[in-house]
Amino acid sequence: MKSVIHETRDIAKKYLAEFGFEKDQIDHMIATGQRDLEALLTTLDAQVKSEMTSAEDLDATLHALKGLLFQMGNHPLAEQIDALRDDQDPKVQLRMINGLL
Amino acid sequence: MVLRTEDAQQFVKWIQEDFGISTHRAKEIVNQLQCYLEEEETLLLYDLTYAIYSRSETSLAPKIVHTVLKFFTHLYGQEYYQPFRDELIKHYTNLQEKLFMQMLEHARQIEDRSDSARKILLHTSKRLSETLDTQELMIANISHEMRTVLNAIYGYLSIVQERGELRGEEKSYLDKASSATTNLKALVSDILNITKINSGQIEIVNESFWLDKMVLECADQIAMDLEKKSAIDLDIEIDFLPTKLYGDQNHIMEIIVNLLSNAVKYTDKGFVRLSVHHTPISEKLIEVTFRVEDSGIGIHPDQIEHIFSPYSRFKKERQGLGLGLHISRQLAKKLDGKLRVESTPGEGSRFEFVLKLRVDKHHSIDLTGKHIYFYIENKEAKNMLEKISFLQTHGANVTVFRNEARFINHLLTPSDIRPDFITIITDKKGYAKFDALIYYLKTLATYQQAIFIAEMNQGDISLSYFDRIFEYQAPLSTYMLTRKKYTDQSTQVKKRIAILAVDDTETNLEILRMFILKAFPNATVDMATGGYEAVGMFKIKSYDVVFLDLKMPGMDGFKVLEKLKQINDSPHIYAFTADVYKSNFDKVLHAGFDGLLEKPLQPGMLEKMIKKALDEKRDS
Repeated sequence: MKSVIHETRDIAKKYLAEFGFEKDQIDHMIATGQRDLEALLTTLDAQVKSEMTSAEDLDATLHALKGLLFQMGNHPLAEQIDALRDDQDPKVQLRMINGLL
Repeated sequence: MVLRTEDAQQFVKWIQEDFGISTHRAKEIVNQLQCYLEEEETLLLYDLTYAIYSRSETSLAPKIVHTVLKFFTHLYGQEYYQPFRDELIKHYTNLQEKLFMQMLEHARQIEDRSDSARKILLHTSKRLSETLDTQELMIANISHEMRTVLNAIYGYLSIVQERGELRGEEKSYLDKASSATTNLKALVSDILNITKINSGQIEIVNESFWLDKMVLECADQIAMDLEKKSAIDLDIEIDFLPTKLYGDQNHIMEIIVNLLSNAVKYTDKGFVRLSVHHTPISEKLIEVTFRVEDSGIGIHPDQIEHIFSPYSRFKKERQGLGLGLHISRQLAKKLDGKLRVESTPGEGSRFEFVLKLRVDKHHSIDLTGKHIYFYIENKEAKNMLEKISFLQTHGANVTVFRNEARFINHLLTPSDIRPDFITIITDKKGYAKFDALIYYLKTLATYQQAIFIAEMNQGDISLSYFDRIFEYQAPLSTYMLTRKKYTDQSTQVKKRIAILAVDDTETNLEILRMFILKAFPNATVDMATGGYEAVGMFKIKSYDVVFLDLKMPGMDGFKVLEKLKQINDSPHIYAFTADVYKSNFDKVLHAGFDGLLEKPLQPGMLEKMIKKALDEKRDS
């Protein structure tokens, strides 16, 4: 989980800087983004560990994660999440999610 | 060596005089000195050093040294002690050496303690700073969450109110709940504001504005507060200023509205007066003073020094958190202005906000070809002559009527002149009469493009056919509008595009907001983190563009779209999503969205969407 957060944070800094935003704005954004990313990954972790999680709920979390990663500039990981959502094999899905976490 | 009685008694006396201690204690010390001289075990050195340590007087140590010297000098000078002189020298040297070593040790210990105290202070300061940062972040987050929930509550309440199914007491409870929610939202807003101020997130946005128009808008904002207090009169006095100024209009208004709101809150009867004066400092700079006076309860001298502190609310029965004045003071500082107060308990208060503003030399006013009629019926209209003179100087053809019959006759006589503005200043009966006349005049070709203005209308009268009604004087900018672009909102406000962004992930909202404000600094961007919150916000404010996430818990984007369209069909509503498959795109268009904004955000596409809405607004 930490590696995803750190990687996304580093990418976001460069990504937002390329658009010409000020350091203060970027720092503020990174702080918010990190918080949201942690929350989503924690939710995902809980969902994966619980037997009660429906496919719909899991998909909603993955969707939100994808959107956030795209916004923060971590496009490769966002696309991986997107591909994961399409994968029908739950074992593959679980393996990928565990890899993330 | 034994001390003689008279010497011992002299020493007791000296000790008492030098150190202000009791006879009994002084005698104890002299006895110890005796033991020391007889080379017996004694607590003399211990007592002396303990006194130095415990009494923390910097002059004590030298005093002790001096007194010891005095003793031994006295003994040395006496014939009686001549055989013991060598002994006296030895005892004196020994005692002073030990005292000196003790004092050195004491000084070293003080330094160590100071160093520790300094380290503790630094550490505590750092921890306090971290705690404050965390606390601020916590408050901001809590306030944000509270605002989200409050907007949702307001949304639900509005839906129930609109259904109109409740009657009588139940309807009244619902209205009260709605009103209480609005008040709570204002309190949460205050908390958010103070957090922003403390964390330096307030941005100064300078723009060109008319001072008189801004002041009148401030008065409009407290109209609701005034309605509840019919025993208060609001007076507005603005020095005539025939030029635009350059400054952070929004924050200046926030300060003035805060001051006015407070004045109304703490006044039960009498007046609240807002006066605005200006003094030129140079060709480009003027100093503006906004003064808010009231005949309210006043502030006690003991309380005045704390009045700008946060959470200082002196009457608990008056609503609010006590942050308004603190926020105003902080904003005033940010604008390089000053905010001060004078007050007399039982008589009222006077707040003065002074700041320097630049004159906007870049706009030009040309009223050539404009025809303006003024009908002024025996009413004191401050600045009217200056206003008329200003309009004439800038090319307008101004005709002033003072006689009602002649004015009405002129209006009804066919003429080639088509007036642009007709301003009427009269009494309550007069306004009612002219309102009916305007209904007829608007059917005539001569008055097709005329804008009918009622100035200084403070009566309780409903006027249906006047185009603009001002409780006080009409601001100068009123005469710069044309019929084609004329609406209830000024062109200044129209250029400011209002956007609502809806997404359940805060970061997505913040990033979208950042991109919008980069391209459109004058835009206002409100954010909602859920469908119900969005509906609540949409009901209370007009938006030009909405960006709506599709997949949200509770009410998804499609359901929200449905609700929004029921409230107001005009804004552009775009889906905001990372699911950019063709099937989704078709679904979005079929549902009635105006388009789809992808995640990751494409700045070019975003700008195009907003520009489209801006162009339509400008043309309407």
